Amino acid sequence: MDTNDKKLITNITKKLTDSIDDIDSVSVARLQAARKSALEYATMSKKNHFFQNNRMLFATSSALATVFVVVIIVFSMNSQPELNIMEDLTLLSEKETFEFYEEMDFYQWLEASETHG
Amino acid sequence: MDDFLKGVEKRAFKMALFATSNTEEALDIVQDAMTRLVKKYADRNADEWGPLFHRILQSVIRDWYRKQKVRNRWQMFWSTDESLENPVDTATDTYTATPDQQLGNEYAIVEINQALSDLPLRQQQAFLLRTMEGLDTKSTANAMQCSQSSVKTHYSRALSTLRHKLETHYESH
Repeated sequence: MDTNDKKLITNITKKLTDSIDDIDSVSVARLQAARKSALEYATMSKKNHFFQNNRMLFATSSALATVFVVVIIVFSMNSQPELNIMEDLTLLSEKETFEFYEEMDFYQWLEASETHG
Repeated sequence: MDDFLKGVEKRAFKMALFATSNTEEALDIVQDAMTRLVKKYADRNADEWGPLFHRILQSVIRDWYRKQKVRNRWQMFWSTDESLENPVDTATDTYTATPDQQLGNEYAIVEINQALSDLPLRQQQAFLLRTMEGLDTKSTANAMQCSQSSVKTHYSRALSTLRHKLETHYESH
């Protein structure tokens, strides 16, 4: 780069730098407003993003909790037949004679008559 | 962040004004660039804001330029008005010199502004980032998202064009 180019660049740079201070007051005011608006908008966007994230987290947690409760309820309802099965197995494994079951009607009549006195 | 933006807004506005030759468009571009910086990069270190802002600003200017070109192509397709060819030609002339400014050295700023506005966008960006912003070649390349050799080429061509356009006025002062 020769000397003339350097002088040209220096001259242009100085003029440009000086012109920055000569921006009209209306544009300066609008720039200030634009700056404030940008800061406010960006802050609001961050708050909305944070709130939306937390709301989704809450909704997800609630859904999971509901599913968990439903599973517990369904599980507890389904577990009763197993107890019945266990009782049947216990009953079946007892060493009562066949005659005992044949005379079951007699024992039931006997019990009923003792109850009524 | 507020202090940083206060320090760069005027130069950013000048740069956008050279690219668009329209005050309203320039203000929109500056606000857009500021918003993007604050929204995405406010958490970064303060010394990163400068390079990031330059990069964002140049991207927004380029996006504006592309949209204008597409818009004008459509308008040219549907219209026979030849004045719609170049967005810079049709933009409001914001550089009007007062009678006092036309005397002496103050007249030069009008010539300089017009010459800079007439530069192709990439040459204009390279020249303004190197001179008005004082960035080195590497930082300019980062802002313009191109190679350092491209920056040197754009800058060199811009300087040649400016020298040719301003030669007459410069030699007389």
